[in-house]
Amino acid sequence: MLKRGILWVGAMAAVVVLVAAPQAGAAKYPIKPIKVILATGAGGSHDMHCRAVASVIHEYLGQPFLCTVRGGGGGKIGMTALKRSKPDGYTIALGSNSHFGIAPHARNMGFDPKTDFVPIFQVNGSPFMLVTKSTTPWKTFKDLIDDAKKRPGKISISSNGAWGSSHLGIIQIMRAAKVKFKHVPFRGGGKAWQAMYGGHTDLGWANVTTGGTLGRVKSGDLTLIATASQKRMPEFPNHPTFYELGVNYEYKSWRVFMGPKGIPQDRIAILQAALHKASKSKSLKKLIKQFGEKLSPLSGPKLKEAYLGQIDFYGKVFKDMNFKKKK
Amino acid sequence: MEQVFEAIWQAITLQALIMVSIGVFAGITVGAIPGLTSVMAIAVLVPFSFFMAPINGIPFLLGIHKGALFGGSIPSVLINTPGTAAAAATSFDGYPLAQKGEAKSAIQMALYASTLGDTFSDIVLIVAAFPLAAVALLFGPTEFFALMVMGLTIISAVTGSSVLKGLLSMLLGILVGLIGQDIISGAERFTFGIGNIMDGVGTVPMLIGLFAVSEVLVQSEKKLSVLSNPPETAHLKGGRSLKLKELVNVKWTIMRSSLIGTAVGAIPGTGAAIATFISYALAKRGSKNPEEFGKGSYEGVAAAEASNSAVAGADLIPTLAFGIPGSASAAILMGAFMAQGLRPGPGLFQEHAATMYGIFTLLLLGNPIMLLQGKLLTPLFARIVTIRQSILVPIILLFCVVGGFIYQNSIEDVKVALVFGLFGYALRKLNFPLAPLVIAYILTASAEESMKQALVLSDGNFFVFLTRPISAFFIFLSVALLGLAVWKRPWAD
Repeated sequence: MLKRGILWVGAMAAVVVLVAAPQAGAAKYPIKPIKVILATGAGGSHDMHCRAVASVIHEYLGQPFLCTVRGGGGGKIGMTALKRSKPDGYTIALGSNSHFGIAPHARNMGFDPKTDFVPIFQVNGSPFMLVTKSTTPWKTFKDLIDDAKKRPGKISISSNGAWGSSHLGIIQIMRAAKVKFKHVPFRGGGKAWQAMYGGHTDLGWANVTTGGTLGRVKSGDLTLIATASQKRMPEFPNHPTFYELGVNYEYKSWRVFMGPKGIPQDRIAILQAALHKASKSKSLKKLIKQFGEKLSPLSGPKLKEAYLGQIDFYGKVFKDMNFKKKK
Repeated sequence: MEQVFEAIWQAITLQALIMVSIGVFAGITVGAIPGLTSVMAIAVLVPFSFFMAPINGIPFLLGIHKGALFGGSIPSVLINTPGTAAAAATSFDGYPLAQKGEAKSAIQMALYASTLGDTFSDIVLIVAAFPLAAVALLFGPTEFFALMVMGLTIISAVTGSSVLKGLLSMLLGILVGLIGQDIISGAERFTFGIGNIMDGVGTVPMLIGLFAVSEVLVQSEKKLSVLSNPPETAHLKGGRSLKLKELVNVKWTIMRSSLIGTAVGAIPGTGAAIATFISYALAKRGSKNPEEFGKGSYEGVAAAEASNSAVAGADLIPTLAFGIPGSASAAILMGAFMAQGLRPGPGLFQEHAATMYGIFTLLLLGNPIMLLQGKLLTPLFARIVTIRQSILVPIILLFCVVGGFIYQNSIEDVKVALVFGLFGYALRKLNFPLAPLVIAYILTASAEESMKQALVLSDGNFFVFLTRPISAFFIFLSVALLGLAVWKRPWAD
């Protein structure tokens, strides 16, 4: 009796599998973990964001994200790896604005951000700010420019690297205000911020989380000169943007999931749906908040427009400088 | 005060102690495998800490950080393959000791020195984080450069028998160190368009190639019959245990190295390597038996390990006090602190006193845990030297290739390791010492960078290095050290 019972259950199971299998084979995605390339270094803000998203995404996608750090070459290594990956939705990247927006205009990166990649989902973006220690004499942009006119080339600003995001900001300010600053490049934004905070350079760039800048501006430890955002930042409604000051410059430390061109649209939709759901999850929201950031989920045509817009924006900045791209 | 003790008492739960132990064990293992770094291990394991109580999750990560700094000494001693730049100095004396059949006692010396150095820096972190962090901020490009110059003077201590060859080796190291993007102009130098070396030659693949791959090539010259026999020292079974007297003999070296490791480690961006090199050089200068350095000196191992482990606590000083991570590992640890709502800065110890003192208590308890695990594991690791070369050498080569690959998940880095293997082999055949090359390579990039930044800031005035007090102090010390080297050992070949 028992034997027959087992046989019956077995047969039923086989029928179920046979009926269900073809359907599953055709549409099921994802059936294995998704590799997320990080072209930035281990432990940076992209890495932390990726791992934060990865800590919840499996609940909404059915498969985990594997955050894989492939730094080096100023983003070239990780981003070319993304370009070469199979467009099956199992390899994506958490991209950075400086890699796909700025670097391709400065030198040969081995990819074209417009034709080789598609943006999938924006996690968030935190705008750059120009800051100085409160012990310096400048309280406003005007103070700074007036002083810079008196002492051309004497006021120093640290940047996160030659022809990188903050160097471009310095160039744009110098062009708009017709002044000259001393540009001191460092390897990475952290070191540049440290030089400013230690008083070795006069000004530096930061986003809200760098060295706890948000709290330091609020407590009066740092002076915020201007924000490189499109509109005034909600955290700092009383501080002007560079656009308001006549400087054509914006930069945000942007965290965007992106993939190689050619990922089937239905797979992108599955990823986007899961990411949108994940960004509503309490634990992810809490984690990102603890980092000092917030989530601003965005996908679809609006994201695409923003993505292409950023690439064009920096292309124009370089063109206006008559910059000769290095081979 | 009562509340603090209450918090400490509550922190020491069995669960927390188990988490620290797992962390330390994972750290030792990761450190012991060339190519795996604590940065990677911590980055991969950070998300687990998100969902643990801060008092369990963070000590777990700190355990990895600790364990890896000691673990790195194991392959340096046993197979001459430092997994990190900081462990390179350990191999200068550790490997000769292993070849003499004293692998076990060499690793034990590394273990004791590591534990003592780490404990020292943990105490400094707990007692004096804020004042020290304020001093660390005084270090700008000018001071960095002077510190690097002082690091470079160590080369005079490791040139080996031929000063000329030592200096040539140093120049080659500088050449390798200059590969990559120029900091000021962004121009690429000596990269030949190879992506992987655009940011400079990777430290891990370079070290793996120079030390381990070249060792494999040297071994492969031997006859098969020689390689198939057990090594001459195999009957020692990894050797004797370290005597207490030997440890007591180097107490001042450990003390001084811990101090240097902590002081230099507290300066963000300097890294463990420079502290280790300076400690090693000073230990040799101060030693009664300087001639033993480089040939198997326990004092050398102690100096290197105490110093590189003292960075473990110290690089958290600027991280927790200012939110400026002292190293790549500290950067990830900072993320873990933040994910728990422990925001670095002056408020940290006021708002979260209970949690922070709990974490610090577990940080300190991690040291005896590391000592215990190290004691148990060392005899096992030391047995590696009893393996026949015909089996060990292919395994080392496998580790070289895998280690080169996992460093950045890139096959290009394996090529870098192999190229440097051939390069190292050629240098060994020509009797060039490798130590000056490695040290020059590691220090050159930061030295050049800081020098250029300092000169931009000073409008090209070189005297800035002498007019700023901290910088002048280091330059003076470097000149004195070099003078001493010339005076003590005439330029005889």
